[in-house]
Amino acid sequence: MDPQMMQTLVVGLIVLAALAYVGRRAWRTVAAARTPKDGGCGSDCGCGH
Amino acid sequence: MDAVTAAPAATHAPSPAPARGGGVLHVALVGNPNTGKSTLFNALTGMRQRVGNYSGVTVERVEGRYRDAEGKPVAVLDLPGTYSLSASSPDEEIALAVLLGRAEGVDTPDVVVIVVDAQNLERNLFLASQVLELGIPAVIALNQVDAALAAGIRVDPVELTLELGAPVVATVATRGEGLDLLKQAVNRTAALPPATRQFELPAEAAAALEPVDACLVRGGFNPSAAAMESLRLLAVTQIGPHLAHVPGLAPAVETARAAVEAAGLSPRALEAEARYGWIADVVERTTSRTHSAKKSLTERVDAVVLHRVWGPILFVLLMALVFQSIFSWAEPMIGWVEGVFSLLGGAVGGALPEGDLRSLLVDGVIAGVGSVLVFLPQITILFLFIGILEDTGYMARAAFIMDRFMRSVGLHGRSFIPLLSGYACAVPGVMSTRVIENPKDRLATILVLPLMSCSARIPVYTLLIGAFIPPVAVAGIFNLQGLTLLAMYLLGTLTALAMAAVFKKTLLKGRARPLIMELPPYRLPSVRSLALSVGHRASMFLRKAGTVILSLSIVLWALATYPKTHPTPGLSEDAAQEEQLAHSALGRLGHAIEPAVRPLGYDWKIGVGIVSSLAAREVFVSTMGTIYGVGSADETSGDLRQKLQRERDPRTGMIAYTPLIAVGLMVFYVYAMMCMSTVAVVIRETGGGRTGVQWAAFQFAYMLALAYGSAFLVYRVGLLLGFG
Repeated sequence: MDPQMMQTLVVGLIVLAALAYVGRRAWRTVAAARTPKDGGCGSDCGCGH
Repeated sequence: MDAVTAAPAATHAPSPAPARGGGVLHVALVGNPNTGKSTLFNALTGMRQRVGNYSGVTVERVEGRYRDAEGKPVAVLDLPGTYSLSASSPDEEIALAVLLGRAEGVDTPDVVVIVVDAQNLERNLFLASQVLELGIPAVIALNQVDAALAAGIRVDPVELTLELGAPVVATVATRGEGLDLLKQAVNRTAALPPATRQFELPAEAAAALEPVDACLVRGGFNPSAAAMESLRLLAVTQIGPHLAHVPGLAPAVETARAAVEAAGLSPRALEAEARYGWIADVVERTTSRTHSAKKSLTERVDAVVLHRVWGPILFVLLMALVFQSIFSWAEPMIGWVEGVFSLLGGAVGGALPEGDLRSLLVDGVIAGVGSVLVFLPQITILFLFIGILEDTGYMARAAFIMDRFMRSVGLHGRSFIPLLSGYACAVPGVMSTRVIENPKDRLATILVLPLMSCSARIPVYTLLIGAFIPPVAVAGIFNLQGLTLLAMYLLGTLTALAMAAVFKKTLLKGRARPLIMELPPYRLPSVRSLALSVGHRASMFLRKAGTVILSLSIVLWALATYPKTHPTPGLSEDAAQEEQLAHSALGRLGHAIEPAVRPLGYDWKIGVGIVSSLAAREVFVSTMGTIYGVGSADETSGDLRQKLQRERDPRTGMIAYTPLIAVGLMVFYVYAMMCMSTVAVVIRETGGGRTGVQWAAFQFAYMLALAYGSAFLVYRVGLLLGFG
């Protein structure tokens, strides 16, 4: 496999992983808004909870 | 210091505590607000802390650990500060449920440490006397004995031990004095019999309460805790969820109230009269005063700080100094961080062959995350100042000063604390509105709270101020950059108050009620506590940069890079990059948005930055970092501010971003609710479901309208005045 193709493959995997993370966080935020118990405060909202 | 001593009962207890499950001794810290309880908790547990929520409620749960002299682990739970166990607020309810072993998911404490402020013994002993009756081994930490001595108050720990029937250890938590004795006392007290009630009730009242006591004992309470609960229940309107399972309790309490009234006593006042009557005698026997008629330092400082005219002026001046320091102190550190990221970009760029992976790492990850991380020094300095103002006791005075303005707009004084939390983050601020009992006051506070400038806005403000506002001196001691930042904070705060007034006069009509609060004495802040709280904030910021902002930077890089196009022949390298960016998915999206943001003076790049920052406001900065990383052939320059200053409008060839546009954009960010975490928590806290969604949608819409309208006005009026 040539180096350019290798780079493209690695980049594709990294972008997919980032998309999955962003999607998961978005889903958790929406789910938390609907569930009274756990709240909408994600661990990375900056508030320390 | 001679006041730092332990009573004999504490140090000569017979044997160490028998720790429960897993050999861990469970200790709960309880006390009035402003007794130094959290400082004592920090001093005991150091960095070994964990913060969460109690199950089903939004009351903060702070836990930590330490090892005793024999190396055995001790788990410490810092309960919310409370004046009594009346269970009239969520904080008090949780404290009571934990102490009674009825809080879901919380171990019943083996020992309770009751933190008592030596300067306010009378008030603090009310809660202490309630806790001592719960039948749990207890130690009294007589804290702030140094400040009490300075104020001419000397409390005898040995006498107090004899009066309360529980060991008393004198401590100065800020200096770590008395901690070893306290740990010894904790370790040994679990083996001692718990204290019991030290005062007698009138015979008629005692007889009237007997059926309630019996009811509670049948419900699983020990007789001592049952007696405390039955006396407490005479004065409260609701029996509380932790007693809901006790059969026949409500009618028994009603019958007891009628019997007490029939005996010519007041059911509501009985507990307060009995406890305070006993406490007055205890204070008389254990405390000596050498207080002169001279005013204390706190009183003399407060004469100026709380003055009707000088107080607010001093507050604004102090804030101006804080914001100025954020710029002048942080600037060299920002330069270092920028230098590090510039070197890193150069090193990674030089080590990897040309291609998409190199572009992703240099233009996406390093440019995107780096552009946000350079603001870590400013965030750290801001929280250092907030910590100092809190620890010295000034923040409570600020609340007192602001209360006058709060009431003038119809908000309850209790709204100030959630609004103050909003300066750090709107999410805990919205959660802490639960302390406001009136639903209309609470809703009005939630609706305006995100207008307070949170820490996520700092990177946006400081990027734009650093790039477009000159660092010129104003009035000799201030600079324009610091004053601009102060203006943004004041704009948000004043607008929040104005909007609260509008809501309280229209949608949420109601009368304002005054705030009753305690002003703690001034004291020197503890370096350890400050370091812990600033370190916690900095780690939160770094975690966010390493997760959400990193992921979004990668996604935005992909959108700014694909689909690829063949550059027009003859273009310079920079122009070819710009052409590629314009043809990318992000460029196309930006051009689609551009008509909506053009009236505000923004181009498509700012439009994309605004849309992406819906996830979190700092993402605006990382988006600009990624856009200018991808759109520039220069891989070593890490200074986004210079890139923004140099940007030209391709249609006119003129400078694209002016100070007027920057001010308009900052005003937009003061007002716009660009934070999905806040939207989610507002939905939940305003009732959830359809009602919650409606309130959150209303809030989002009014704030967006305010943001767009104000940014439009700033830009258009500025152009008319010749600032374009």
